[in-house]
Amino acid sequence: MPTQYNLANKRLLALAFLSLISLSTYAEPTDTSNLDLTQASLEQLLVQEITTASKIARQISDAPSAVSIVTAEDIKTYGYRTLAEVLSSMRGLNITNDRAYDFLGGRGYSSPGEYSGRIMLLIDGIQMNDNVFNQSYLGNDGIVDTELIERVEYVSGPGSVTYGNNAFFGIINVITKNGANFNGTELALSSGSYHTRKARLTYGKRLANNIDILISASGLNSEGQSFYFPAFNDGDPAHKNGVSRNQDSQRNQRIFAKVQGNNWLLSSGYSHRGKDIPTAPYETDFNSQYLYNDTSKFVSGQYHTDLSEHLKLSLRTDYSDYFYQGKSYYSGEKWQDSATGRKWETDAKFVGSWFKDHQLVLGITYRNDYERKIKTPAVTTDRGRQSTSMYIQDEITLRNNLWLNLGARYDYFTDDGDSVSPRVALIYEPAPSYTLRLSHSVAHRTPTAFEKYYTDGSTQSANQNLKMERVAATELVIERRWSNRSRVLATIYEQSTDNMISSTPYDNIQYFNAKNTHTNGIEFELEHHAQYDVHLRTSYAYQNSRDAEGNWAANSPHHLAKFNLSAPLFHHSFRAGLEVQAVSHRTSAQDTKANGYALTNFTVSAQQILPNLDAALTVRNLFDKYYDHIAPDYTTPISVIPQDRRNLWLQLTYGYK
Amino acid sequence: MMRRLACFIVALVGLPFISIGFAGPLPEYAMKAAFVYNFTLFTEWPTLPNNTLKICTLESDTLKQELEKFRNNQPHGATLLISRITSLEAIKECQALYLSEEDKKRLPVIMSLLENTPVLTITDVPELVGKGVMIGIKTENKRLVFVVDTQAAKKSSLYLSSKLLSLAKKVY
Repeated sequence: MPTQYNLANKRLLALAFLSLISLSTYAEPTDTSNLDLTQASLEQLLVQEITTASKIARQISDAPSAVSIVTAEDIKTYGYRTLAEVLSSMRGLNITNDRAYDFLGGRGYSSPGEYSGRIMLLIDGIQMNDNVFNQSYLGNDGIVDTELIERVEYVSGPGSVTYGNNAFFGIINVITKNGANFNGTELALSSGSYHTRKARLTYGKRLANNIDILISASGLNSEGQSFYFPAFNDGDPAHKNGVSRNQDSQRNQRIFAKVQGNNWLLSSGYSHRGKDIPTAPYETDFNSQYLYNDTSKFVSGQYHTDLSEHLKLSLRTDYSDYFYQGKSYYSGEKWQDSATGRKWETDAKFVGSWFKDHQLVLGITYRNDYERKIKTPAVTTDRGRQSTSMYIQDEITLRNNLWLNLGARYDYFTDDGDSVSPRVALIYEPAPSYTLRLSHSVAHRTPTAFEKYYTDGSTQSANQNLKMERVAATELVIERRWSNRSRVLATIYEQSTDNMISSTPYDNIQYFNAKNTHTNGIEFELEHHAQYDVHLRTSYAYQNSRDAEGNWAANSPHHLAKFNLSAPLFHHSFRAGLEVQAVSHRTSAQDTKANGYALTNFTVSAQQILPNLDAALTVRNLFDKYYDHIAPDYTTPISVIPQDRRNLWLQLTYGYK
Repeated sequence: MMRRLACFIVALVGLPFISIGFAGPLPEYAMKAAFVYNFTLFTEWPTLPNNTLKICTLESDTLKQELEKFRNNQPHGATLLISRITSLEAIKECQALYLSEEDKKRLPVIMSLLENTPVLTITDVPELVGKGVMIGIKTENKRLVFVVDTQAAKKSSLYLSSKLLSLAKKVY
């Protein structure tokens, strides 16, 4: 790599950014109003327009643990196009991409290819993990466009006490925008590297009767890239010297709709993605077509009411389904597999404040996973199951500045038995603006239909004796906030798993309950909204995850550092966002090493560049860094997957009221 | 590729300043402080100890800084004091108390401490009005408006003038 060239690039960027910061000092809104506030009358004040102060977002998720937030403003400022890109910027999270899916890692766990990073994905309170693989779809296969997201909250630590099965190492809570946020029609067109085009049309409005409507549809098409995989440069003419061409294209379509009144909400979403897979997983033919189709749908209804002065009720019912189809070639023969999952769930939650100093939450959930079908040439299986859950929580005010949070949830599964997930937390505010939270929580995850029943007759076999896995974590969180503009968070945790579901190596994959694993870690986060609208968000996480034999967990980086800085340019008409994400080296279960890397992304966005027109330009991997992700076992002989080099994205958004 | 990018950045930085102009609007917290000050003008306390009127904040530093600008004003002819409270017990000595988002968690404790005490409570978290807080400020259409709970004020022996109520967006 020509280092001198790289150095020049770095200098140029540093220079550009410095001038940006210095320019931004001119950007303070000037007070040209003649109103002397100390003498103003109430009548004068009532007609005076205000500029909203920049504030650090406060968590919505009700959890006594560490919470990190990315807002719609961040999504715009840093040009995030997928949920995976959003999550990559957050404290202690890392994404592994195998050119098929984005796998989420956190809290020391990041096994590539194992569906669901054991972190639950919720969109407006609805669980989005499918019920066959338990995967949360974070890329172009995800159910919502990032432009429709109001905020993303990451609540680290076991969350089964509230959310039950699969809230193992944490939850991701996505809250979508309302129609009022758009207040009209918006058309967005974007174009970028790898011949990617995307179009989105959104209509949103709050009607006179206070009913809020949001409807959005989008489509994406991408030709993708060519890759060189040295493992296939083996002289076989069919392998074309290890170069995979035209095997990375993808296209997706999404529809999202939401209607809500004061105390009710109806929402629905659809997403379909077709993706060509260049890595020839499961010994399929290299350089011949392998197509994954993933389709997700959901419908949800929610209703909230005050039953009495001291009792609130929330009801939620949702239906969702998922369909997967894989088409490939195996020794020249056509090979197909598919999976279908359908479920519905209903939940009733009561919040009671009958007793002084107590806030009680009681709830009951019934979930029917009535279809969990897997079809391969080797097996057809459909294992439905039902579950019933009850939960109770009490937040007790012990003193002016001391709270005790107690909770437990009981889940019964018709196939995997039952489980109790307790949590106890103590919250203490030694001085105003300082918060200490000490918690101990337990969570569980039942084996997925894929882990328990999938077999292709050759590389993977089923294991119907798989048991539920469990985790227990103790965590101390210290947080300080100053005046809505600064926040510092430090957390130290220790976590052990029991019966952790792991797999034997390729090409004799079978899932089994491994012995205990043990993880400890420490995380820091700093957010600051400085003068002149300069925003900083930065975090560092150290994690050390070991199995029972003391071996370092596969694909688990020890260090994760994130840095996000943004500032206005030219009197607030432009905004620049600089992002750096550093991930230390990882090793696979087979001891393949992937080097650590630091990725730099840069976005310039402009509002009203022309009347009603916003524009944003993003350069990802600004320094054209070559880096790999550890490949899942099933792509053997490929052991590492090269990631995107420098890529460029332009988005134009036209809105009219 | 890199060169084109460099050109873009340099061109951008070199662009002449485009001003979209901030003609009228004033910063949110400066305005909120002015509202809080004005509310004290339309409130009557049973007594003003030592002829002082003390406006207190808990966690909101931003509002306190803005309130400082009113220090030379003399509401009801009294000396205005601005104070940030660190020990909750001390809130009883305030004439007006401002509660922000950060103070939400302590509301039950604050309300029980202030029971029957003539302290005017003001917040910019609208949902707290109805839970004992007397005046709530909220943003509507880029302007600030306020709602008043007269029952809560009456319980604490505070008299809110009819002019204040007539300017309120909503009176409970």
